[in-house]
Amino acid sequence: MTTPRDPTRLLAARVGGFMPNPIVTAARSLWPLVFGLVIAFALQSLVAPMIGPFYAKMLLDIGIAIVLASSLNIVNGFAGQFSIGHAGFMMVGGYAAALVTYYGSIKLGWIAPDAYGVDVHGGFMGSGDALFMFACVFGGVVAALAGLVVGLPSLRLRGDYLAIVTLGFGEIVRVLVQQSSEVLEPKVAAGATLLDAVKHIGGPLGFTGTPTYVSATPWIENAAGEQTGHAGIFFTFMFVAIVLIAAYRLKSSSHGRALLAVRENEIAAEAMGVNTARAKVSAFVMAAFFAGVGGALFAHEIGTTLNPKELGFQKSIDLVIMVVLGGMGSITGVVLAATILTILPELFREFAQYRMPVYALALIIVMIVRPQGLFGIKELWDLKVWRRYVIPVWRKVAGGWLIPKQEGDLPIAMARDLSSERAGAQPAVAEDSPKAEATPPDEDKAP
Amino acid sequence: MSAKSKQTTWIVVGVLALAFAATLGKTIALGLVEGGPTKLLQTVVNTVALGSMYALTALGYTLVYGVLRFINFAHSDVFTFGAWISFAIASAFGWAVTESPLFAMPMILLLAMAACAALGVTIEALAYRPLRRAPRLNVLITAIGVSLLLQNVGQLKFVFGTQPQHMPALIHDSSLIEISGVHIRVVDVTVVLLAAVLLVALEALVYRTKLGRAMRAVSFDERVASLMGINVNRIVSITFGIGSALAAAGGLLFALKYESIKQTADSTWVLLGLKAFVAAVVGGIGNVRGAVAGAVLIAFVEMFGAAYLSPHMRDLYVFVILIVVLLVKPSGLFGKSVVEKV
Repeated sequence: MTTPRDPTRLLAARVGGFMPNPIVTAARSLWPLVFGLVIAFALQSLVAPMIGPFYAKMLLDIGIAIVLASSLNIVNGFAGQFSIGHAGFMMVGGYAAALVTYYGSIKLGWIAPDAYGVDVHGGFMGSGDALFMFACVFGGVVAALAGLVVGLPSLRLRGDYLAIVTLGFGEIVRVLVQQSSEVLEPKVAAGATLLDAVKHIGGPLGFTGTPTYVSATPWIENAAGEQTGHAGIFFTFMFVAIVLIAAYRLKSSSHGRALLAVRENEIAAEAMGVNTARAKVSAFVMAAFFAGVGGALFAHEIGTTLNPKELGFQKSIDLVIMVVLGGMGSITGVVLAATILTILPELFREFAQYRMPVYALALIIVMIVRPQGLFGIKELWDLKVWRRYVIPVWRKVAGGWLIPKQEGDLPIAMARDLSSERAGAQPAVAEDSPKAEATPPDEDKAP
Repeated sequence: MSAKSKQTTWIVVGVLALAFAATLGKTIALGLVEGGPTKLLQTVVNTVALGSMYALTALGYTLVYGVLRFINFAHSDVFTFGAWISFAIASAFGWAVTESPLFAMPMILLLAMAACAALGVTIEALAYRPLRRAPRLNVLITAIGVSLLLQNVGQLKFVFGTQPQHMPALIHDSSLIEISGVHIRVVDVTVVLLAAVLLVALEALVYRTKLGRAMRAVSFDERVASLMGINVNRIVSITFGIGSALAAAGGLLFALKYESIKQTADSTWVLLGLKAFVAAVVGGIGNVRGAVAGAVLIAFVEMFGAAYLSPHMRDLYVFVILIVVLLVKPSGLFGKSVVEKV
């Protein structure tokens, strides 16, 4: 960590003598993850039993929606590469993970050969959960490979053409999955080869019988001290925490700024020394990875079946709506949109037939009135309300142990404060007005 | 990547492609021999009928792309509405049963085309015109929004509903001629003839009239066109109207040929629109003749693939063709070679 380009060090060298303790630095950068895990654990063990199975299931849906929408936000919001085949990545990851857990459980002998379907094995953090977590990461990796394949065309194509290729990718995945045969029963699967397993992933009916590691039943200990239910909420929100932290760190890193530069103007970004090809492909790979993880969670969720019908064009569009409404490039905005758009349809079930017309209208109106989405590229903490009321409280509570006592100690925070002062001095400029982002990059219009 | 390794890559890709093509060719040749002339002729007839429907829809995409430089995702839904509106008219007036086809057919065609033209013009005025100067991504998202809106409004109970409907037979369907066991049906002939008439009319409109010249001018350079006294907004509206009317004709022909009309948000419509769009892109979007050629090519690939390779993968062939064309020649097959754009 002693590279000369580390901004903290550079600043420290300039100020003279101030050297942050590496252990403290590491702890400070890890606390969001720890915090996320604690929240996930609290949701699992405190909130879920309190709210009952119906709302626990909704909580799961929200978590998965956040993972998926945030992953789309990386490619769509940060890098500005419009993808409308995101459900394809989700499908790739989901099926890869389901292959691992379903056929893996059978091969490991966790299920009697004459039973139908596989159940969860081992307790909390037991062998079953280990397999499940491995499957999630595996699904992510396979989807990331697919992302690499789809990202390559993005080097040659832009805008609407790229959208069409991603759409074509989603459709191709769907058609291919539909050609597969029904899932093998455990009896048969015990002797099946890997190729057999890959060929039998359910076809049009979907991958039935996957173990439901992502379950809505609250995980509690009964009187005898045995665990019942599964820690699905914990795992879902663990991945939510990971994807959000990854997205946040990406956005505030030089790499993320390169992506934002590509999104604003590719030629200008290239002139500034950004390797645009690499930036675009890596955005696709990262987005595909997390979409694959989201697909893996979806595959193991209770009450849902991986099937090619459900994960088609419509699903991709749902995700696009979340990202667009939340604000392309805003992590917190997308989280909010994903949460709200998952809760609303559940609350207004009797108006189900009006759901899509209303979404579509909202999409059109937002595009006309506020083209950058509700939050634009801003985060929750960039809003005036947040700065005025939340940050002072947070500084008082956390100052000195979670964050440095004075914000000015860190260069990024300093820069942020400076820019906000400038924005305060001239309220009419740049960031706030939609027009600044709506200026058309007219390069394709040339005859 | 060095020049040499690039060359090697291309050679490897070429050899693989050749091997793949050889395998495909062998399968198709075997199929041709096995199926005999009957199957071949039947496939050709299917290809032509499907191709003319794709062409009518692809033209809408291409016309709009020509003047506004964006992909009108909602176009396939205008096609769907064309089919449903003609069904609604036919069943509401009961013409299908009472009147002779020579009266009912043109009436329904004209009414559906007028209704869809109005729909297209409205969409342009309300959704796309405010975004004329916005980044293309925003327009694209709006177009997707309009598409979703049409699909789902069409499904509402008081619009078309969610039940699939059966199109009344407007034309007495009989075999016109029989060649080596293949019946060439009246419907097929009507579909192809009507499409051909409309295509020729469009060609004449674009290249022979003052309006067409104005359209080409707007396509070439909007700003200069407006300096020359062309009312750009009017031309754009007219273009949308024409494209939508052609889509309506395509929808009616689709309903005539396949008879069953699925609900508006059904995936068959989305796929159909996508394929027509693929045809426009493959032919070189913005190019009228290219769209027709692309439509025939796509229909050819789809029908022959379905007949001689595997009927389950017909969607796959189309998208593979799309991706290959976009990667090799992103401007489409006729994108640059024919300079005239509409």
